[in-house]
Amino acid sequence: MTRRPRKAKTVRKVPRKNRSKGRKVAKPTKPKREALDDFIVAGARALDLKIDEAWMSAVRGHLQVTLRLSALVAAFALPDDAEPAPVFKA
Amino acid sequence: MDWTSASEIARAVANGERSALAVTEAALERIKSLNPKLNAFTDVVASRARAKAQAVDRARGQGQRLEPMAGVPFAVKNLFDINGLPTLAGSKINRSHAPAARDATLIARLETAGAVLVGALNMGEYAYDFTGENVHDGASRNPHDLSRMTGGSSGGSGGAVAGGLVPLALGSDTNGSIRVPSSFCGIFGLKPTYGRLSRAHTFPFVASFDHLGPLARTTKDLALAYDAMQGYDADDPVCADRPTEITLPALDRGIEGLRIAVAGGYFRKGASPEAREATERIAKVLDVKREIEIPEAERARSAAYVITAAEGATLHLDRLRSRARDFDPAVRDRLIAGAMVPATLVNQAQKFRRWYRERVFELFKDVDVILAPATPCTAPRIGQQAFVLDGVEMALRPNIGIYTQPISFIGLPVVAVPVPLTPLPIAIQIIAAPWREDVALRVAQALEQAGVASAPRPNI
Repeated sequence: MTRRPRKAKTVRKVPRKNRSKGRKVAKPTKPKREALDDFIVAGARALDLKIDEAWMSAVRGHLQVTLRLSALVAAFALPDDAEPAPVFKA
Repeated sequence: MDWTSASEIARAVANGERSALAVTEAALERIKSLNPKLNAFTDVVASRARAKAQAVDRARGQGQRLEPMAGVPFAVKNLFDINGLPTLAGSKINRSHAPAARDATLIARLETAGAVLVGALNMGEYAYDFTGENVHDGASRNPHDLSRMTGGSSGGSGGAVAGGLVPLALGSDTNGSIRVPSSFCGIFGLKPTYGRLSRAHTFPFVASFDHLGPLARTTKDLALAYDAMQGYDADDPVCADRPTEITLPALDRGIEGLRIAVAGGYFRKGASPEAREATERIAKVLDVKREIEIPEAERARSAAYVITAAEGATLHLDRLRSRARDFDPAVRDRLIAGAMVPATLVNQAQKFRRWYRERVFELFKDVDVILAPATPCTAPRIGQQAFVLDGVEMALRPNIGIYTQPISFIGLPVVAVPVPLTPLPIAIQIIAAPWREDVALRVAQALEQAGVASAPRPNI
């Protein structure tokens, strides 16, 4: 069985004044920067890296550039049987 | 300052006009007087150099035939192992490493050819750098304007050769680190085909792209050193098991019969007026009117960027965990970001790399040489953070290599030839098909003989 992941604790609560009866409330959207920060924090935890708060802005900036360039590469359609460049030869 | 070339020194030592020891002492004296300005050297191995020079002189005195590089002083980027010294790779962290127990293969090969190692050279930390700046050792300084960058990461190699401290230096080039300093400092640089020269016993950066090669003030000196360093080495798993292909005898064959084209599209976009001027001068002398487009060059540069980030981070992950505060912050933050890049994106970049390689190899059915600027601009000021490319302001540090990265991405051989514009030089890449360093060197030699490419002498 696959468990559904718990909601992240950092999700912002909807302000009380917007919780009126029967009224549809727009889901709060986090700014993109925060989303990437969550990714960095989770990644750092998984990799056992300690990131000082003062470094976050620069790390985020570099990661944004790398992901932007990655997206350019990923957008290029390649056949399923495309081999990656380094091929191990026994 | 001594502007004598390596080949001229070897000739003078071989025929007894100068002793190897006198040449070495002169080089050590130049380092002593000029290095405080240039900050090119991080270590000088004077005793070792004198001993080697004396051995060369003894051999000559005994009537032995001298090797082709007898008495030529040279220095190496400090990521090369030098027996008895810790291999710094531009870092603070590696200073606590045990001294290397042997020399890098390429040092051993140059010394076998008679050359004399005089020291280790400044570089950007762990080679993740295009500027030549280093927070631990200070920035290496451009001999043509001490307030400007040498380019990196082989910054000390560029400064030492362009400043006349040594006629020859070795550097590494992962994404442009030989070609960028060659451009900013106005010297010749050779990045051979991936796998051509052994990388054994040097500190790595990105295994997929790491190359080693020489920087010098003449094409002939590049060929001389390159020929001496060729050959299979089982200690480098990437080193190709190919026969040595000597280039020096055919260097003066000229360009007759060679099909040459200028890279258009991506390689024109963003080029400064200086880069365009230099390209036009070279193309004019070679009478090149053909322009070709290297397909998907921008995507290739992007893929190189992604693989570099991930492989570099993988290499340093343990150090990032244990000694993050001992890194240059600019390098550390890029490496941490690289550790976060999903493997799916890195694999896609490696797949694209093979596709791109096949397409570019097809171009070489129709051309022998492609010309492109080495850098988009001349040397920026030390500390400069941003520059304008194609009307867009962008971060300087990661973008200096936009024209070099799509080429080293697939391991093509390149000679960077300096065009001595005023006030600052800039280099053009002479790009050849894999394993055809001989062709790139021939074109560089023709350009040098025509007077359009030369290493300008600085006024330090």
